[in-house]
Amino acid sequence: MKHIGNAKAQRIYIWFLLPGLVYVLLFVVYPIVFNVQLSFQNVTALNIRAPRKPYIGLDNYVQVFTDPELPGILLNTLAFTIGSIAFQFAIGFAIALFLQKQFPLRDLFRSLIMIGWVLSPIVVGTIWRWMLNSDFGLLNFILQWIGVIDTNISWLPQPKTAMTGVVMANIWLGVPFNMMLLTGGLANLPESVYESATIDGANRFQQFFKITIPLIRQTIAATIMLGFIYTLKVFDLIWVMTNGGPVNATTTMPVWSYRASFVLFKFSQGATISNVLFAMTLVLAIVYIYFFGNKED
Amino acid sequence: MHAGTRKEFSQFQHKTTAGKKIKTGLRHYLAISTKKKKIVKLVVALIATGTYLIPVLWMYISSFKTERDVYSLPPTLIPNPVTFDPIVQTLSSGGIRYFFNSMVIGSFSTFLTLILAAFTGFALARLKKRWVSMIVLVFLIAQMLPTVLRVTPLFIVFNNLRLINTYAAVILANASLTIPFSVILLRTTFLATPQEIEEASLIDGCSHIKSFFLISVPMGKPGLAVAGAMSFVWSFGDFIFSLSFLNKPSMHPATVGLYNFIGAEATSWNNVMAFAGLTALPLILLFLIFQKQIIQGLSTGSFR
Amino acid sequence: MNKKHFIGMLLILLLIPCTIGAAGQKAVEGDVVIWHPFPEQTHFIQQAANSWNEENLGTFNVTTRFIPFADLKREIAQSLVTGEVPDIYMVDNPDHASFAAAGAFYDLTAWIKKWGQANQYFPGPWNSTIWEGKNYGIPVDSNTILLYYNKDAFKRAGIAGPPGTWTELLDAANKLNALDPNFRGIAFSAIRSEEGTFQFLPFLQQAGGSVDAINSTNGVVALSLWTELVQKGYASPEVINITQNEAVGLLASGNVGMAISGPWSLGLMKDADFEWGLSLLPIKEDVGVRSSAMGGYNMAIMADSKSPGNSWEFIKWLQTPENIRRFYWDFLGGARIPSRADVANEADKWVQNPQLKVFIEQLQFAKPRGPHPEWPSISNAIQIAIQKSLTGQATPQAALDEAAKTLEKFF
Repeated sequence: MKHIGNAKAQRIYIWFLLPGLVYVLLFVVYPIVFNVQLSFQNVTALNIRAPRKPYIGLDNYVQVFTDPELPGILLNTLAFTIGSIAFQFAIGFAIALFLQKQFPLRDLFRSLIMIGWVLSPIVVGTIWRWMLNSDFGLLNFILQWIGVIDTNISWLPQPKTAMTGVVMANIWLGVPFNMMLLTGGLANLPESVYESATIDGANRFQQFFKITIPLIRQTIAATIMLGFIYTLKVFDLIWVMTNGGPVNATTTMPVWSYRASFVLFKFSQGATISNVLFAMTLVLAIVYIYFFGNKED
Repeated sequence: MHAGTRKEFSQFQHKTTAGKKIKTGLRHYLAISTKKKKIVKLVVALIATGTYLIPVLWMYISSFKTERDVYSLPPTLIPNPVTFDPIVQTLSSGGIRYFFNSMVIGSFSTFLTLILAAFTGFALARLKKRWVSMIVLVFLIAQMLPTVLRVTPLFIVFNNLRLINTYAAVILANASLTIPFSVILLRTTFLATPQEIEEASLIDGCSHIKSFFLISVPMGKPGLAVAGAMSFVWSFGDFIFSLSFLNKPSMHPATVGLYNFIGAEATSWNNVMAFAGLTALPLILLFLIFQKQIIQGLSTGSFR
Repeated sequence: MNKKHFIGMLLILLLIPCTIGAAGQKAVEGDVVIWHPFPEQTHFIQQAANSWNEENLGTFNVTTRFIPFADLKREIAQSLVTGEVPDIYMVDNPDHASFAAAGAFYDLTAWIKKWGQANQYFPGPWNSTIWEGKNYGIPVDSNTILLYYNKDAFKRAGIAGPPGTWTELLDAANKLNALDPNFRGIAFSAIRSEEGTFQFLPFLQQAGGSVDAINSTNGVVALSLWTELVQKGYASPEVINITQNEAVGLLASGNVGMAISGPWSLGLMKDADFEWGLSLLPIKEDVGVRSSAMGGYNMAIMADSKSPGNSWEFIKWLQTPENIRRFYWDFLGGARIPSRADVANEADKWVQNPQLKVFIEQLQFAKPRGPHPEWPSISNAIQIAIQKSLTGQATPQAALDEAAKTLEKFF
């Protein structure tokens, strides 16, 4: 590749690279730096107008890590993330496998399921708030009708079930995307593999675990990783459904950070919390890259 | 396909070529039972899709109910009586304006993302430097940055740039989420497109810019379609940036409009559902129009 | 297309969105901009601004901007950063002190002295505008909460009249609850926001409790009442997620028999197809203290305002007795009660409207929140206690003990 690899071309590609890189430095790297600085200060509504803000060292971090609310919120974050990803993935995978089969109107069904993907989290949260209403919600009605429950469950107002309610909504929102990513992986597997396997006497379970999963494990890992990155960030869906309540039952790290910054106006505390969340995501990413990264070449 | 996977696959094929003879018989058996099986599958798909879409259907059913009907027990499956009041009320309370704002924010964010990410993603696919993987890592990390972390710093930045209360603030903020994602995706796309044609065009004296637009971009279309669709859906659904950077109701997108509407409309769930349904409808229609391209793009496995 | 052209085009395209929306709404110098949280038809501020603009042509214009209650404080905090502040901020009175302490408000002490009308105001609202001995605003209106009830449902349930005591409240709630499976006794707002605190404080005070000793027996009794209402199913568990307007919405749509809210919800009752009434909040019989929460708005001039003088002119104009009569009295359904005692005491004006009469009566028992610069944090601790108890995560005693521990440092 003489023309692509030569020095002149490479110089031009650096120019191609620059706009996007500068953009990311401005709007992504700068916020990180700013937030780190903010987390070492004490900025609240009371002194936001002051020209100089006091530096207080690690106080904010000490406060966040010793906050009695922290363990519960970390558990919530974990429950929300794991619960969402496990079911989004499982349901998405099941649908993807099913929609690989040939039958009439298959593509139409795939499109219909993708409708969930285009709806914004705010709309989905609103719909589910109504679906989960204690007295008039459709879900309670359906569950009573098929005989799973005798009395209505107060999904969102009850600390024990609120997280389940929020997770349900998030699963619903995430299924189509998981399905599409996995369909992408499955599409690369030629039919002949399965035919040969059937002949070898492998039953469906064996086929699935011995052939399908190993062959698309890269896609699976990527899907789950993307799931983690995007589920850890979820804010709007929870905010519109429960505001993080009752009490703190559905408060995850992003909700906690938002509440600190924009309800209580403790900007530095909010920044500290979001930095901790970012660090958590980074650790996960490092684990991912360690196991699955750098195999592209 | 991934190189490692390809290797495993060919080994696998090699192992199983022995059973070729039985295969024909099997095909025959499959052909007889296919029709029945197809119908069973159709029914299963119908039930599954129907179940999945219950929330959306319920949203639209509720929008045609009167206030009394929406609170009746057991819930009525068909509105009784059917009323258009909630929809009329949504339209008269500025539903169209909100939709327009969402479209502006969604399309400009997408446009900005596609332009910048296409160049950067392409460059990262063609540059043969050691530091390329470092830059890729920067974009990967950028993708992980929590949205709430960006709000305060970006507010300060946009304030200094005098951009608060302009669509630009929200567009630039949205692009800070969608660009990293799209760069990674488009780099993968352009790594997979054949370089021979680009090379040939350059030999023919084509400029790099021209070659990029006439040769590389068309070849990267599936990836660009996905990046575009994702960017649009995300920016269209943005809530927190619009809430924080726009304080004029006339500029609010549908998400913020809906959020405020819930607060103002008390518990009139028929009106709230009508608002939600109306603002979601154009997006659903847009998706159904472009579904082929989007699904094709998404299912070519550009994510790895 | 060469490179320069291309880059130029790219820049132009990127600049388009910057220009949309950037234009317009450039205030004319000297004009006064007011930010307020009142939806149309719930407050007279819009009408007052219109009248000023018609009657005082050639001076300056007054424009108003509505921001939903839930977002107003955040928007003000952001405006302090950007410097794009309004001239007048209609501030919820418990928040006044924290903004004054932050230096966000213009010091009006000298002007108020010259004006000489300070002693005409009710002391409660007036005190909410003072921080460290200086005046940072004028209280414009007061409101309070009381009981809305469905007279038809009361008749059907065989209840003689609105509950006067807590015992009667529980009894009425019980009977109403039994009417119909999709009907509940009462709705109130225990939401995790200022509204939840606002609704709880009257009960706390009726029981003889107070915020600085919130875990006293009296405080526990108050929270126990609320908890009982929810645990017996007289109130939907959803009360921890609903606003005061939503509570009245449930009453108007025929889903509950009673609801607690303020005059701003009167508009929601327009479509109710049954007889309804208003009543004072029930009292705890053995204590006998009547109480309600004092809601209300102050007008503060922002420290960064470019026209503090004109803003003060407008406030003075709005607060003349004739203008108070004109705007407050004639205002439909909004029921804003002036904080100026001399005008508010012209009781005959109010008697003509039976609904407003009850509000005026209840207002006499209303107690202010704060003033305290840390009120948002105090309120937050109370909200958490309410929610913990109502959801059964903690007993009323345990929930309030925890709140008291948080509140310790504020008193």
